[in-house]
Parts: sequence; C-alpha cells; structure tokens
Amino acid sequence: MAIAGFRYRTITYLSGILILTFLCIGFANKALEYQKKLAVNPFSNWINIEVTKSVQESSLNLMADLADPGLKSRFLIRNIYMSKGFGASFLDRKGHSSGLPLPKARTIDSKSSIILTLLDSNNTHKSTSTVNVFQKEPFGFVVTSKFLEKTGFHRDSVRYLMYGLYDQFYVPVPILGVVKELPDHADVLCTDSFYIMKSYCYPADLVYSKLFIETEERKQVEVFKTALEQTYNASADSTGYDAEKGLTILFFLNQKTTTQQIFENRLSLLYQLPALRNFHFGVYSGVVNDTSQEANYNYSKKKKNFNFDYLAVEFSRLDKLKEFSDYIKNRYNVSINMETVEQRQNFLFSLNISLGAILLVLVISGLSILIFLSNSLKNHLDRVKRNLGNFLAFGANRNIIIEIYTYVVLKILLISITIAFILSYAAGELFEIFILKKLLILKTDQDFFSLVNIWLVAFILVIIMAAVGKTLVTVWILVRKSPGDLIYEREQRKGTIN
Amino acid sequence: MNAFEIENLKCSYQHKEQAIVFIEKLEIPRGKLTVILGRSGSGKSTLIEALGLMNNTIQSGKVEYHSPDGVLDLVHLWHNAKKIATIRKDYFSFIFQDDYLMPYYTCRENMLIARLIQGEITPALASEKLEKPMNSLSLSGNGLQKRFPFQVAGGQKQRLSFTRAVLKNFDVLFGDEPTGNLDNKSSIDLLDFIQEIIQNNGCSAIIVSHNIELSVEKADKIIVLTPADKKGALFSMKAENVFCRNTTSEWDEGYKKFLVDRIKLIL
Repeated sequence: MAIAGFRYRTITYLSGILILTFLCIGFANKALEYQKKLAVNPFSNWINIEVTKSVQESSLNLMADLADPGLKSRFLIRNIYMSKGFGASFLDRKGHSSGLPLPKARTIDSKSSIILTLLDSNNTHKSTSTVNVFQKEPFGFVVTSKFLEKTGFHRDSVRYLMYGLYDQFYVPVPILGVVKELPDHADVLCTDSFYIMKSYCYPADLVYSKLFIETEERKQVEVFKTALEQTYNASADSTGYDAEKGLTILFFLNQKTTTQQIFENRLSLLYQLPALRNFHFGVYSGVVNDTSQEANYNYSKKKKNFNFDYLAVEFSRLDKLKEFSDYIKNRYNVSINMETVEQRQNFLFSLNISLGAILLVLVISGLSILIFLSNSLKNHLDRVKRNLGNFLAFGANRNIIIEIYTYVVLKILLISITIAFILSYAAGELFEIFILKKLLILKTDQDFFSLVNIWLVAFILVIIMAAVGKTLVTVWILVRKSPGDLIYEREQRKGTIN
Repeated sequence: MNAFEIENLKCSYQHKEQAIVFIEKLEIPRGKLTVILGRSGSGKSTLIEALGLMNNTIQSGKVEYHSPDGVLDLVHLWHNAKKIATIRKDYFSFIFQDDYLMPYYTCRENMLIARLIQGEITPALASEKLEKPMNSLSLSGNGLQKRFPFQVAGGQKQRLSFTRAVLKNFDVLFGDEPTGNLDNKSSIDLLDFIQEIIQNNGCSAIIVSHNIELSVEKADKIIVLTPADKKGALFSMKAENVFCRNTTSEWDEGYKKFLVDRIKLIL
C-alpha cells in the first residue's frame, strides 16, 4: 500500500477529486433528469393549430384527409384530433368557487390513444387505471397536480371535485387521474362528451348524477341513500341494485344546497360501510342509462353545432413539420405557429449542450483521477524499480508482481470511491435539505440531488477499468525488463559497463 | 565438479556491436568461492549477469550450468521467461553493493522476502532460519526486525540484504561487490559466513570485488579480467590470470603477498 502515499495522501487526494465528481454527478443527474422530463413531456411533439372561424370548415376537411394512412406516414403523424377549450369552475377545499381567470379546461376524444400517453408513468401522479380511463368513465376529469394544489386538495387522496354547472349547481365529478402536465398548459382535461353534456343539456332538462356503489350490503347503503336524498332533496332511484355488481343510485341535481361540506359529510357515511368494495361518481345527461351510449347519443345529436378550437397534431418526429406546415398552408390555408416548434428545438439544443458540458466535466474528472493515479504509481515504481529488479532476480514471477499492483491500485480506488461516495452522499443530501430547500426555499417536491444513478455506475466502472488497464500496462512495461536492467537502471545509463 | 563451464563466451549488451568481455575457457568450481577481479568497466558485472540470468548479455559461446538437477544451457534459455524465472528462483541468489531493501517493509519482511518468493514459509521456520545469519552478522537485538530500513545504519542494511540472500535455498550465490560498502572487519565476517555456507551446503559463490587483499585471503579461485589483446572484445580473461587455491594446501602468506602484487600489476 506504499502507493497510498505518506499518511494515505493518495487516497485523500483521490477521495477529494471523487467527492467533487460525485457531487457533480448527483446534482447534474437530477438537473438533466428534470430537463429531460421537460423535453420528453407527452406534448413535445404536439402542434396545436388554432382553428379560427374562418378555417373551421377547411380544418374539418384537413382532419378528414389526414385519416389517410399515406398522408400520416408522409408527415410522420401519429395522431390527430380536435379539441375544445373552456373555462371551468370548481369549489376548492373550503367550499369556495374558483375565481377568475377560471381554470383552463380542454377536451379530448375519449377514444384517442393520446390519453394513454398522457397517463403514462412519465406524466402521471395518480391514475385510477392503467388503461384509457375515459373509455371506462367519460364523465370525469384528469387534472394537473398544480391545479389540485391551488384548490387545496391532495393528489393522493382526492376522489372527486365539485364542478360548477351553469354557475349554480356544483356536482361531484370523479377525478380519473392526476398528471403533471396537460396539453396547452390546461388545468383540467375532459371528454368531448362531457363538454357537450355540460354545454347543451339544461338542468331542468336531463342532468343528473350517478353514484355507483359496489357492495353486498344493501341495507347499509340505504342509510347513505337516505342521507343523500335529504341533501339533494331529490328522488333517488336505487332500483338498479344488483347483488353481484352493487348499487347504482341516480339522483337529480336540481338543488342549490349541494355544497362541498354537506356532500363530504354524507361521503363519510359511505366510508363507514363495512362491505364497501368500491364507489365512484358520474355526472350524466339524458335518459339513457348506459354511459357510452349516452355520450354517443349526445355527441351525434350536438355535433353539428359543436365547433372545435384547436386541431392538435401529434408527430412521431418533427422532421417533416416544415413540409407539413407548407402543405396545409397551401392546400387548406391553415397556418401553424412555428414559434413553439422553434422554442422546443432551442430547448433540445440547450439540453444537448448541458449534457455535453456534464460529459466534458466527467471526462476531465476521470482523466484527472487516472493521471493522478498513474503518476502516483509511476513515482512509486520509479522509487522501487531497483527493488523490483532484485525480486525478479530472486525468481519472482512478473505476472504476480503485475497482479499485486493491480490489486493494490484497485484497493486504493475502491477505498477512495467508498469514502467519496459516503461523504458526497451526505454532503449532497445535507446541501439539498438545508441549503436548497430550507434556506433558498426551492420547490420541496422536487429532488435536486440523486447520487445513485446510471451516470455514477458508468463513471465508476469506466474509472476502474481504465485504472486497471493503465496499471497493467505501466507495471508490465517495467517488469518486462531484465532484473539487471532494473537494478542497474540501465535504461538511463545505456552503454555503461558494470 | 564444476558449477559453470564456459567456452568462447562473448558478452555484450544488445545495442553494442563489440563484445565487452571474452572468455575462451573457464570452469567455475562447485562448492568454492570464486572472485572476479578487474578494473571498473572491465565487464565483471556483465559476466555475472550472464551467469546469473539477470540479463541476456551472451552474444555467443557456450555456457553450461550444472544444476543439482542436470545441465542447463544458459545461452538458449532466454526465449523462455518462465523457465528463467524458475531457475533464478530455485538455484540462484544475489547480493549487491546496494542493499535494495524495500523501504515499506520491515527489516524482518525484507530479510524473508526472497525466501517467500521461493515458497511458503511459516513464522516458526522464518524465525529459525533468521537466527543463524543474524547472529553471524551481528544483527540480533535492538528490535531490528521490527524496524524499517530507513531506521537502521548503512552497514546493517547491507548485512540485512545479505541475510535476505542467504535465507533463500540456493545453489549459486552471485555477489556484485557485496563488500563495497562494508568496513574490513564486516567484509571478512561476510566472506567467512559465505565460506561456511559453501562448506555446509555444497553450493557455490561467484563474487565481483575490487578488494584484492580480501579476495586473495578468502577466495578459492580468482579470475582477473584484463584488456583484451585481440580485437572482438574490450576485455578478456587470460589463462595465466586465473589463480586457484590448491585443494590440498592453503596459500601461505608469502604466496598471498605475491598474488596481491601480481594482480595489482596486471590490473
């Protein structure tokens, strides 16, 4: 362990370099992860085309034409759909209605595969299902966690939000999923069917809410049903009870007394049901009980009057975007705002620059470690090469000498890595907790330091392999010489005769 | 019985075209102390490097080593590094003018290292093996074994390195000016101890020296390298410059004085 130096100086220096490197990796990893998250969000390859009244007709034609697989393939289009944007009113946790500006809602076709992209693990905090939640329940919301924070609800416990119909009635609408981001910076996502229902069906007409309770204890459900009837002063219908499936309660929402507080009181009764398996809410319109039929019915009924605000195109890659832009401009007189695309391209470029800079730091750090280790080894070998020559003269196997030095270098490196890992882990975590989160009060649900990651593993592996390789070569170059050359340092004294 | 038999040996370093030393015929006896004398640069070390397989300095000729296990041709061995290492390990031991002690090992570890290279050694065997040479070379006491080389005197270091060499099982002991850094008394003790080992174990010793008087006093055979008459080598060994002690009688003081004067003359 002589290479470890006087008072383990080599290990100390090496640990120092490694601590700085590991801290760099720990913070850079999280920074890059965050940047990548922004870069790979589900909407990064989406282009939103605003559908003004003047291009409404041509947009519909464009949408119809793009159903052609050839055209999709030509422009690398994965999905295309039209959506509506509107302001939605909700009650917050304290029962107050949301002020202006209203939370931004956006519609989506319940059959769109984009919903699956939205609800994938990269973007989801909470989802009631891993499949397309809107196909199971078209009358619910997918909301952003930021929006939930504003309303005072917690993303892990929220089951419904009180949604304002016609600024008068607040009805419980199920939360089907909580995501990090929604297209076009929307707060809430719902289906086209929901939008049609809420826009075109009047309270006096057909709006009612459905509460579906899965339980085998009908008698206990009756307690809740009674309470609910009192709250809503509505005729609840529980004839849909099925011992296998549970109980469906339908009740009309024609009362103004449905506040958050009262509803929650009733809901607490529901939680007390011992045999409760599951329950969920739905808000529906029409006379047809079946949800999907209802949606289709309303959609087809109102389609003619339904104008979309946006044409959203999802590309698999953005390579053909410019060509697509020219195509739709010439053919349909529809323009794409290229600013978003350029911003994204700039962001990707800056991400690559960051990545490159971090890689450069790692390479420099790795080289520093290797050069330092190599110099320490060379200095040591220079001091003991005559002794090694002596060992070879005594019959020592040069492979064993190589093995011993490789083992020693590996040991020094592993000790340094272990020390550096422990210290940098502690330093990074403490810095994150006390400086970033408490002193600078940065966003607390965002991690800024993560040491255990693929970068660290790769860096350590590369360093170990490079150090071992360098050691093998360095020691081999020395011990391949004859004992006489080593003992008499003949390389430096060529021609000297002893 | 000879340890080495040499014929028409030319030694040089590979980058040298002209041989440094030429030996027409030489026999190095087994169980004897052979001393090689010569002025600086006369190829003494080159010769023992060739014989001790420390360097491939053999340009041409025949060098046979009569090992306890058979005759080995040292000229054609150099392509086989493993074999060379085995021969060094099993038959040869070395002692140099400088001690070459590992600075990071204790004196005890340094003394035992050559024996360790040769094979397993138990602590008990190590202590047993160390006892005699340490006593003979005045190395006992003062906790020397636990000290590091930088904590002991130069003469002690030299004796430590000698102990390291003789702790190993060997057939031939090569010494390149091993008494160079020692006072006269220590040099005599060292050569006496070598003689004792030779007599007890039947092994041989080949030593390079500049000390003519001591060589004449202790050597069984003296070889003097002198400038070569013929071109082809810088130095050579002439038959008249080899002096052997008679196996049946010792050199008397008068002959020793004569030898010293003669060697000084031819050098």
